[in-house]
Amino acid sequence: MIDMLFYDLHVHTKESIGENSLEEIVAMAKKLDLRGMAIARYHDNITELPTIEGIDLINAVIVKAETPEELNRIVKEVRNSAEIVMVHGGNYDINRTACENHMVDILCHPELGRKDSGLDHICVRAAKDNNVAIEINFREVLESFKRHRLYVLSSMKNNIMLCKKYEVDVVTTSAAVSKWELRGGRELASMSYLLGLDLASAIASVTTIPENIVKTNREKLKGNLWEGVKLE
Amino acid sequence: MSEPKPLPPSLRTQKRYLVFEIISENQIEYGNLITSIWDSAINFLGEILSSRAGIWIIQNLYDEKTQKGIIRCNHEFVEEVRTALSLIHVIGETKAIVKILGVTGTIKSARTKYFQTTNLTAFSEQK
Repeated sequence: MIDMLFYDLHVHTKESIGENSLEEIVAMAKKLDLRGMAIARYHDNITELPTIEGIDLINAVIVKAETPEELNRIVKEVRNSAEIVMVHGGNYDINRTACENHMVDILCHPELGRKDSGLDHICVRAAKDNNVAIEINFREVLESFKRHRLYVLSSMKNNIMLCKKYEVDVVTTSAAVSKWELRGGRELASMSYLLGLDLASAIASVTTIPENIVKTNREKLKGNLWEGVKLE
Repeated sequence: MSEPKPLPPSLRTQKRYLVFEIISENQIEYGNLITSIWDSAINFLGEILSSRAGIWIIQNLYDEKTQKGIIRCNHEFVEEVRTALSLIHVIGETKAIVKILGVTGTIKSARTKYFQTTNLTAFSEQK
């Protein structure tokens, strides 16, 4: 049996809005057989991550902006220091601007705080053109109950339908703020599968897609990869 | 008292056995575990899907020391049951994570692969 390498691209520690230290989060991630984990910090609080044996720690920056202009400005500032640039979604204008910006890697929870799914076909087509992945945020489902959970699941299902139609990458993350909110990669994939992805794509959303995003960005940060050019 | 005869193989529903492990702050009680599993399944899947999933928690295959156990379900609902288990975050009053170690087609293969034993008697008799 092939061992799958699971990545969770959205985890918070005490450095941002989390409850646990990096060491506690890493210990739990190892118990859950995660291969890599992106430690998400907000753009005004970026520090170096230590190297820990047995797990690949990825430097992820979340950009939270009030206006599209502010978003584009901050993304430009942080792009050269972050291995992953994620945008805090929810506002339609922010969602759309993020999808239209080729420097953004992941649009997080586009449906957050909305009655609709936060995305339309224009956003998703732009996301395809700019290689922006759409996040399925497990914590949103975990922390919601009854009718609110139904709205959340329905919005996510709609976004997955759009992503499938326009062939946009989907990334499933735990978005954990506590070590008890972390989940194994296969469990995250099963949530995406139930929301409409086929099983192979659901598993890819926690394995190959995150791995490729990280690999490509690391090559770019080293200077080995530009638009249309790759140094061997 | 008479019981129905076992069905012929062609009419039996195909089962899968999910081997799980509970990672928790404190030792959890088996009763609380059952309640959490059923509550999560019914809340997430609803009554009709939970019944179709055919969830069956096998009591004498749960090891309280290692907090590992086996849940049986129908083969078409493995992902649904897996997701329902992943949505458990508290068991009793203890924060917990349910980790699925693997899925097998028979109890014997589950015990061989994940419990390193082929003896089909209960855990309590193994000590």
